[in-house]
Amino acid sequence: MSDDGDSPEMAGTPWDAEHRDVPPSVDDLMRLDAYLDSLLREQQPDQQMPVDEELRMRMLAAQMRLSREGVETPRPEFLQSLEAEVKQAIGNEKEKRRRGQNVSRGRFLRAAATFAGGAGLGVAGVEGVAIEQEQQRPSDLVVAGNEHWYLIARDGEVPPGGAKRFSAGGVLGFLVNNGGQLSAVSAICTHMGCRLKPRGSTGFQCLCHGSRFDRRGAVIEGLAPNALPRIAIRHDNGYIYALGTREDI
Amino acid sequence: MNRERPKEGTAETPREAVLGSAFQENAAKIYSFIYAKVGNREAAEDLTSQVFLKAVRWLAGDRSADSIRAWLYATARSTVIDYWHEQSGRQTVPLETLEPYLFRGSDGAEEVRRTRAQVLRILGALSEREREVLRLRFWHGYNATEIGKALGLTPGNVRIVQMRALQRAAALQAAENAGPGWTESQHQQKGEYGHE
Repeated sequence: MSDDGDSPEMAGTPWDAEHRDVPPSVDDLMRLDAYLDSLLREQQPDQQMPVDEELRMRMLAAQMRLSREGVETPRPEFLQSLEAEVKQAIGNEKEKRRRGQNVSRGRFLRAAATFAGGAGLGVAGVEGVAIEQEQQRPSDLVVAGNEHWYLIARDGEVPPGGAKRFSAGGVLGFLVNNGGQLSAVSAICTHMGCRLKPRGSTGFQCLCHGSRFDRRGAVIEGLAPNALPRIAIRHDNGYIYALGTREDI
Repeated sequence: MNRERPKEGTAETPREAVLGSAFQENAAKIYSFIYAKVGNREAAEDLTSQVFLKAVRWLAGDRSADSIRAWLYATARSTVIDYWHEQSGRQTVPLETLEPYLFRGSDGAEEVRRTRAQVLRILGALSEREREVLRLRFWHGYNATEIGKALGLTPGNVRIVQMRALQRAAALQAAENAGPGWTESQHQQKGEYGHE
């Protein structure tokens, strides 16, 4: 406190009309000051902030670094090392794809096909499974052991271009109608597991980080690493059923 | 500005070629784009790496090479938003409230220039003392004690001025961002803050 001798009015300018006239606490002052110190040392600030207004001030202060020309130019040695890292990652990815295709993916596909065949039901996309090798293409959501068919819609309830959200025990999904063809995809984002919402008739959007998926579940945009898994559906006597888990939470 | 798209790669190694040229073309720009929103090198390097390592996985999905530039900026943008969400302590601030404070418009490549112009415009609207304190802080990198010595103030006074300056500046930015489009600055970028 000792060095804050002057009243805030003497040090600053008259308050803006939109500001509540609450003098900042010494804590607030020191926290903001420490934040600016870390920016100017080019270091990530290590403490978090409690208040929205402070967040806005911090975001603006970060942008104010641009008032000095050239601060935003990367270090050449950073770019070099990142380029090397990226090359390395491409190599790893290729290796992973090669292995994944031969071993784990193959085993997974056999398991999926066995299950679908065993159930003796029209599982969405089974015919597509065999040719799918890319991690990014849709996979089928497989319920292991405690599966249960849930009635999720009446025939004709979802018009072409439409989508209906459903839950089938532990499985949350969207039933979509693409030009008369019904299919179902998971309603959980493959990035961090947040719920998705329909985005007009174009697809789905993650509520957390905004990843976007098309109506078939393919990633259009954002951080989601994989397409949405497909959920098995069947059509029976005027009703649509989806395969979920017997147990619910 | 370079508007060229990354070229299609050769038949043997399309991914390396696509990502290689996308890297050469965009890495420094993506870094600047991110730096403009996080304001420190440590975070900017970390987030830039994240974006390009995600690009490796993204390209593994046979995406069209044409879209990589747009994808890089979109990913940089969401990475920056995640960073601030993390900084905010996560629980208190919904993600969608962050975006309008950080970004305006959709042209990622323009964002650095636009941000700099806005910052200079806002600084120009502060009082002389506020501007002087922020100039010494941001341009010269002085700390509160050093600025106090230079201006004959206590360090405590300096901290009060800088806080009020940033409060006012944040309010100005919020008002500007809520308004229609960017009005290109009357304040040209010259001198340290364009108003000497």
